[in-house]
Amino acid sequence: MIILGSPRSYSSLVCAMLGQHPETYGFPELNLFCGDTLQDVVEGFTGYRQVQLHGLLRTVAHLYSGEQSIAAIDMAHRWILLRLERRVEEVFAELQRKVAPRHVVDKSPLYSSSEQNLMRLRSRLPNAYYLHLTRHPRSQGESMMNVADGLMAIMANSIDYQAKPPVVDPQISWLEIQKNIVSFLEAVPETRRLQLRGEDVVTDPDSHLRQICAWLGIDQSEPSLRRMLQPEKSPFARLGPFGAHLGNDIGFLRSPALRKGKPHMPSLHDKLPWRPDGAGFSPAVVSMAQQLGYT
Amino acid sequence: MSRGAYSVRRVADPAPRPGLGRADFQRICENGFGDGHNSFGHSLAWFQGKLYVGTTRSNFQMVKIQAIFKNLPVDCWPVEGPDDPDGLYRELDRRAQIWCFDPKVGEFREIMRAPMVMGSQGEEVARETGHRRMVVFQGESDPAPALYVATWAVGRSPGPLLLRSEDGESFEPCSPYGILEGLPITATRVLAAFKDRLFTSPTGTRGHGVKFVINVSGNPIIYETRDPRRGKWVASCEPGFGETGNAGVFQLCSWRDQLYAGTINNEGFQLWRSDCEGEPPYQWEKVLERGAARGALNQAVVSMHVFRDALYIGTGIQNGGYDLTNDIGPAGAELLRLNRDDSWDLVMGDSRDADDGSHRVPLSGFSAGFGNLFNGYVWSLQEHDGWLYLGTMDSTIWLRYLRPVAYTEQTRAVVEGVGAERIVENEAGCDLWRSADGENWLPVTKVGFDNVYNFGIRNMVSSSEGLFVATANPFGPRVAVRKGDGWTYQDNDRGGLEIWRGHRPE
Repeated sequence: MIILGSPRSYSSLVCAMLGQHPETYGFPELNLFCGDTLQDVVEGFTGYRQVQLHGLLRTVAHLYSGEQSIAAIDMAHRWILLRLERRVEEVFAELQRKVAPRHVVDKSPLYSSSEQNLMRLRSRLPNAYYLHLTRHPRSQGESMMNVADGLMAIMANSIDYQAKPPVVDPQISWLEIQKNIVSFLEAVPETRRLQLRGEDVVTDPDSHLRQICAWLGIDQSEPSLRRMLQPEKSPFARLGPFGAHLGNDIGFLRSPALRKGKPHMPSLHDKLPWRPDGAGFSPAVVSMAQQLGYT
Repeated sequence: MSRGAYSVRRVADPAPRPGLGRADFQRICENGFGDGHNSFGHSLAWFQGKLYVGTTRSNFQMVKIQAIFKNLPVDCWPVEGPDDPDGLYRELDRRAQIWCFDPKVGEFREIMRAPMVMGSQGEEVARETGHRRMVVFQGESDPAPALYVATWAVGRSPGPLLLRSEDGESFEPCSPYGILEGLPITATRVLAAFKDRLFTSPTGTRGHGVKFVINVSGNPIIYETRDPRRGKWVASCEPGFGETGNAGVFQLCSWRDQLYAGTINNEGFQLWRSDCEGEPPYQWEKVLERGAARGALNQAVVSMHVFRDALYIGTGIQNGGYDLTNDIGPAGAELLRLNRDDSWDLVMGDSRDADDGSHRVPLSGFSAGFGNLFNGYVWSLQEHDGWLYLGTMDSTIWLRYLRPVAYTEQTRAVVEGVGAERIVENEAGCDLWRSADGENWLPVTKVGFDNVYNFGIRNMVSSSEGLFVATANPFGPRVAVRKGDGWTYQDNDRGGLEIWRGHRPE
């Protein structure tokens, strides 16, 4: 099962929760389907993008050594080097076999930011299930802007170049990603796609987790659900070692426990705090948000 | 993913239990039990809930006077010792020792020290200077499993023996000198139990006229007995399996109802096997040859161990990875894996084409010696708590003593570029590695447990009380150190074998 969504949209939390189910295994951000071969992927994650390899490094380290230490990450680098020429679906299948018979949950936000990545997913994982996890564009944007003064938005090139001077504006990437996902899922059979608001999952996790389990056809019993309420027990629910400290959302890594409660649901129509020109959401963003259940 | 009826299974965590890291190891013996002449933890066994360690003494003092090392271009011999054989006998206490560690008490106790016996030149000599192999075995006349110990005799001693103990307190010879009556050998490094029999093969020659006097007996035969206490040994194979290149049998290991034998061979080791059924000598089948397509650089099978239903084979070149007698090496050792279908994998080693034309790339991502030329042997392999542990012999410390003329051109360039002492300070000391799947490896230590003088991990034994690791550390009791433009010998409180216990309380 692949979780699709914007960054900062509860995907780390939900993936870790689902991964606690006895029949599933939640990976951190593998980002494998960002290229055709592992070499493509690795070469794409150079410079400041090296952090996007952290999830794969941590996964390999943990699955092959039971620990996430500097030595294990070093081992994971060698594991990757030996597989550079392999196609990403082969690498993914190897990791699937490693956790079998559990079902895999992958939550790499990079997939949703590129139509090409999504098409690759469809062709390489033809039987995958897709959970479209959303977040209100205002709270998602605020969250994006709270990370290193908007660095995540800058990395996503979420910049309004029409403004004078140009403005970092996360609504641009939010819209692009949602459009990518909605368009992509139109071709996915209804039985293999599900859209949920992340806010609803954290407000009422029991019923929404049960809904996801029913959709996936996995156990919905109380013991399984109780386990899923403990995302902090995921091996990837803490900062990793030097050289691979991320792999999940930094906020989740610092505070991985589920905090039940109803998140504030902001308006789609007020001014945006990150816009010095007092602008609000574009009509397209408002329309997409409404389509996804936000008001 | 959707299913009809289903039941939820508790699926085991797919990640392995974490293995033992450096912080999980504690040193329980240092400085050769307080005697730097105890150089090697040459044999190790777990018997009746206790750890037994057999020592070999004064190794580098012994090596110093051997012919093949006479012309070694060293600035100064690493340890203080006599300059001639007579001095060895006259000046040193060469009596091998056996020590016992009781985990309930947490201390070592000396159990046995070899007696003095009349030597070949009319003087008293240590009956044995080493205990080279231990095995727990129950022969036909043994009322219970007994601890058998193969000794290493000094050249002027009457010969090696097989010692036997029922209680771990008293060790008595149960063989004639030579283990097999009249064999002109000094030791055996091989004792293996298989199908109610004990197997051995001679190592080390007494006398002259052969090239490998330390490691090769000139008698490359595997012998077996159902009752070592009564000493009825018979040959179970023809000499060298009928191939003259096999100078000795270095390792034996049982796997899947077969006994595997690894040889030392200057064209590359051979691996043979037999089910040892019928009348001896048995039919033996060659499984690997020419050092698994590496040739002489895989001169010998130094270690073997079964892990996850595959046979792991550690290789090496004698004399620490550089056989001066036969001009083989220097080269790092390899780790190979023999699978159930008789295919083999290069786990750690140098990429190459195999005899079947396939190209082999190391599955671990490491070239020979774990990328370190000086890791000359994979000296020990041991499974413990679901992990395979691998100990190397690392000769890096020799850079401190060797003159540059000793190196190949490539090595000289590296040594001169980086600086010998800087390499020693940062790299010297044996490696201990571990792997949960046999392919992906992590280091426990790459610097001899922070002691450059621990140049090898000679033995390991797994027990309910942890993984015990015995080092080879012949840099005692007095070691050469630079003083001004020259050298001097001084006491070495890091010299002598060490025993480490890897243990993680629940």
